[in-house]
Amino acid sequence: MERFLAEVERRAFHIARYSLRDDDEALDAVQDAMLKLVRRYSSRPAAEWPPLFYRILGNCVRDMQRRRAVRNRVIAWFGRGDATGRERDIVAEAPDCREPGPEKQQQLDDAMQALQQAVADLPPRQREAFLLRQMEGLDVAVTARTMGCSQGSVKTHYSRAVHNLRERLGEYW
Amino acid sequence: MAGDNRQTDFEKRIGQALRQHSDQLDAATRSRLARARSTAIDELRDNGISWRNRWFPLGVAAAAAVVVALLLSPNPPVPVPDSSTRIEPLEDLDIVLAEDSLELIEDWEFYRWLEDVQDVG
Repeated sequence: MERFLAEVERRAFHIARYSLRDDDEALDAVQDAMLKLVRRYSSRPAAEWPPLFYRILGNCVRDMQRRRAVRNRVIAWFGRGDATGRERDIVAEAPDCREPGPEKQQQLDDAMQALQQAVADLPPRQREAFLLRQMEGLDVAVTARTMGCSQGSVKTHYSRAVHNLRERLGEYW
Repeated sequence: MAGDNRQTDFEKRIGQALRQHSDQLDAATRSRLARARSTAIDELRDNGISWRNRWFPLGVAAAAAVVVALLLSPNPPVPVPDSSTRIEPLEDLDIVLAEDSLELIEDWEFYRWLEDVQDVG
């Protein structure tokens, strides 16, 4: 179990961050998903852990999004803070892990940021299907189990995600 | 690609880029992820231990209760006789007492008569 969690934790963090656009909430979601997987499903075969874990993570992300929506409404009601519910800019806040480099490196950074922004802007189900397939490497059947939908739905969400990304990132990728 | 398991070059490129980027995390985030994992694993171990702790005493207590019950159990129950041959205790007692009482009274009168006769004689 520990090895499985160590393998998936970074990708899980990124997947959660694309949806939540907040590092702290993404970390909380990953931790919640880890704890729930351990509490409920540690006795299940290891092959079942990836779809279970990502399904739990998806639920944690949605719970946090709901809580955030309620919080924003309460804040708006009392007239405090930013009542517009404007989402934070993941590109502007993304940690810069790279050393400053030449012009080519800058171009690569720009392309990567454009990709991140494009993925973050995908509709939730398209983003989920795309990230589970591409980042986690789940096949269509396992992705369908993870998302709780049919394989046909996964294919539709995924192909629309790729289409949207291709339209938006054509100049970079 | 229509969403099946085949991928175009475009998909492969962006997929690879995303996976590579996911490995690039700052130390603070890596540390927090490691702590989250450690918390989950600790809970797994604690749950395993507490599960054993919860059931072991119950198992011992159950075994002890069985042993005590066997040691203190009374003799095996006597089979109940068939209802046709069974005599109610009270009825039995009445019958026995009634017959003995009559004989006792008769004997007592005889001995009293005998005593009177001897006294006269």
